[in-house]
Amino acid sequence: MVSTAVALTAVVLTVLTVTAFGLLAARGRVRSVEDYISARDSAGPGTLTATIIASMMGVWILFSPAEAGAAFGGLPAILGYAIGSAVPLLLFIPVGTRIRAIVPAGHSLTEFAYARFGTGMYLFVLVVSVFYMFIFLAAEMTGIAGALSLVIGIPQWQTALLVGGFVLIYTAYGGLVASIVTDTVQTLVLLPLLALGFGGAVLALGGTGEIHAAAIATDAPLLDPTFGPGLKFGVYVAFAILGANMLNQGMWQRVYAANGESSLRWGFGVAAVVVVPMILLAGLFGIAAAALGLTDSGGASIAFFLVLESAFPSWVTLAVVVLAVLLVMSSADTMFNAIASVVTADLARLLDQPTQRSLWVGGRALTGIVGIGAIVIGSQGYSVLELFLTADLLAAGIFVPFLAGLYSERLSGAGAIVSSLGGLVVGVAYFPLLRGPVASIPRLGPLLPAPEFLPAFVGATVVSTGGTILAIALWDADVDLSSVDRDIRSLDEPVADGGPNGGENQ
Amino acid sequence: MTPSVMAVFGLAIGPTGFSVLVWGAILVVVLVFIFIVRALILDTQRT
Repeated sequence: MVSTAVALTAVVLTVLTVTAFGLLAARGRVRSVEDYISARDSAGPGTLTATIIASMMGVWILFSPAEAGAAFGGLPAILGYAIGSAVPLLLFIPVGTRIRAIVPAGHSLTEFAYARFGTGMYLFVLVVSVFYMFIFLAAEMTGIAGALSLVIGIPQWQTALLVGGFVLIYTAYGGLVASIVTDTVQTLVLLPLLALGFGGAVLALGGTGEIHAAAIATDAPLLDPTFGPGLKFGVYVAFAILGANMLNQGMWQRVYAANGESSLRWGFGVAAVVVVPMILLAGLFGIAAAALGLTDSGGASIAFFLVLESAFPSWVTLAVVVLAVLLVMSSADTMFNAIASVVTADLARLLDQPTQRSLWVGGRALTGIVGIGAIVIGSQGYSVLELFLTADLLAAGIFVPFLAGLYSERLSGAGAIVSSLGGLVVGVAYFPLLRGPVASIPRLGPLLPAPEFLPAFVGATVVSTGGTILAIALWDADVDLSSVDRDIRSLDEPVADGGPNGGENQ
Repeated sequence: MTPSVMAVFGLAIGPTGFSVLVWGAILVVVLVFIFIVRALILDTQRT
């Protein structure tokens, strides 16, 4: 096993190297608030593919897919996870092209929600999107703090502070520019590390034949692609991931960062291709853990690390530690900047003639607040799974009406809200995690269906989709989509790089 | 866990299929890495 001192040194070196890259890359390239939150038309196919992979693949891939493989139904559960993660990326190809056509000067999904639907839907999208992104961020901090505590014994608060603090430094300084450059470097290290680490791990476990034989002997359905509970999990998790990712501002930022439609297609398309094997490989460790009997007394959520502890040579452990740090940094910087950009873009609209200085200070202050909040929560070791699923459910209920606004001139703000509420009512009625408070409403309890995740997520999506179709068919809001972006202003008046002073004369 | 009908009839994924799945996944990761490096080099040459 790797000593704590060696592993800690590897963590510190990784964190410092990425931070140095971020700071150097942003130097001289962040000339305005526009650059800070949108990096518009700056990323070619290679950069865009790398930044999308890095943004989406957080340290969660070392926890959730393995847990799905070990406890929620083996191979079909993992496949559902993998395909569910790829679908939103593929969907962003047509949707992203549409976003760039309808709101070419836009910055955020909430900006579009306000311009297209008005205040009600804007508030809906704002709350769900920021809630989801903050939970994602807190889960990443919790995940890395828990992982390093488990593997090399670093106290959780130290990891959260170290990793979160340094990501905060380069993201607050360089915004999206720094995030995209560090994402690129992180992906270039992360992919070979993943291939080597997982390949080495399979060999350390005796090869695929050994793992397969152990799984068949222990629990054959783990490797059955048609295993019922696994299929159910696979389907609902796919719906959960789809809705949440379509409301992920980090992805919307990267739609605008693409330097053309070709880059957008290649970036999102190739990222979709690679997330499938990445999640599949991570998930197979859950099957390996279950096959080796490591999850018999619980601990499915850390199945990957149980296998790591039990069988791996120290170089694989060290590779996984560096991999975990890179995974969390690459998605945390995306979320820091994504949340800050949502609010900064809205500030530009809400404030009366804001100066570059006020937007600049606002953007950085918000990055700091979000970062500190995530560090504090991440150091506590809370279970954030329930919050994650709740955020996913809310997103599943509203993403279809929201995106329909990009295509339909007939859909009104009221129609979108009613459709979303319809989806949420069905979703909440089935949702096991909200059963307690919902059932306590007088006379409602006996009317509720049996709680289950599958009908909750599928129901929320299908009913909101049906409601949207109905609203489009019955009413005509007669919205002119070509003028949706008329009130969206560019934020590209120059400021001094790295500070707000240059904006004082605006 | 209760075994599904397919598993009972021995249709769970076999050792060869499992091996293809694992090493195939690793190969795809490597290929995407090569794609990104190549695309980054082309990006740099264009600018």
